[in-house]
Amino acid sequence: MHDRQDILTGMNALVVDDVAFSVTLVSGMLRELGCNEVHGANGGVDALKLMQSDQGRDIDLVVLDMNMPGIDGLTILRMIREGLTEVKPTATVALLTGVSEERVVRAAFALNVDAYVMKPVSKAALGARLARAVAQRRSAGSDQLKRSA
Amino acid sequence: MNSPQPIDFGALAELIGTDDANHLREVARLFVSSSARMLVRIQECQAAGDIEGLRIAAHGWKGSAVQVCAAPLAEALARIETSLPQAADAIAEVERRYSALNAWI
Repeated sequence: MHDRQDILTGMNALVVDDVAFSVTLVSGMLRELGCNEVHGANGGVDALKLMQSDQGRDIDLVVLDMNMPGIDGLTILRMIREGLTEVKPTATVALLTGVSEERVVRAAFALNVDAYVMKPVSKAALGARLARAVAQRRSAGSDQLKRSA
Repeated sequence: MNSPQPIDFGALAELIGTDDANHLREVARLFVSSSARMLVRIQECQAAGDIEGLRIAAHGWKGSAVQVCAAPLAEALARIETSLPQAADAIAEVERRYSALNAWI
């Protein structure tokens, strides 16, 4: 399985968490892992504004918290997958959360989340999980292209 | 028995992937300063009787406390979640843990 973290190099990411510290910490990790631009959003409402602007088009990786006031992580994930934002529905989306309830995990995978990562997470572990998720998504995309050729 | 440090710098160093003491201290300071806002949010939710807001605020703050290896504070925040709707004691404990963290840093 692909877990070379250089696959993250040059990606544009969005980190969404209602706790500003978490946004800063995870954004710093993503920059160190090679991401190009890393946007931060303090909560779902902030994230939605950014995702529905022109900036949303350039985002290829979204790291989402689950429990947030107003708009939660699952709602944002669903909106991305249903094309209700400017972020490509095929973007890699990871949930980074302290929620481990089976009901929530199932709902996330039903909405095609690419990685479900529990807090706390080290930079190395986050990099490995995201790299694998990006590789799987790219591989699924190229398989689809081959089938339609 | 010694009480645990408000933040376990050894564990934090492993999580962040650095031994740079200045960087670790900076991360801890950033956590403490952003925590002030979270405490206010919890106190506001308590005053307003907003149970769902309290649960979300405690959960969110706990997530970042766990991420920065602030176990005593994270445990107190978890107690808010489990003791709702009667969380006054747990909130008082969080206030004490936050003050201890603030003084320590």
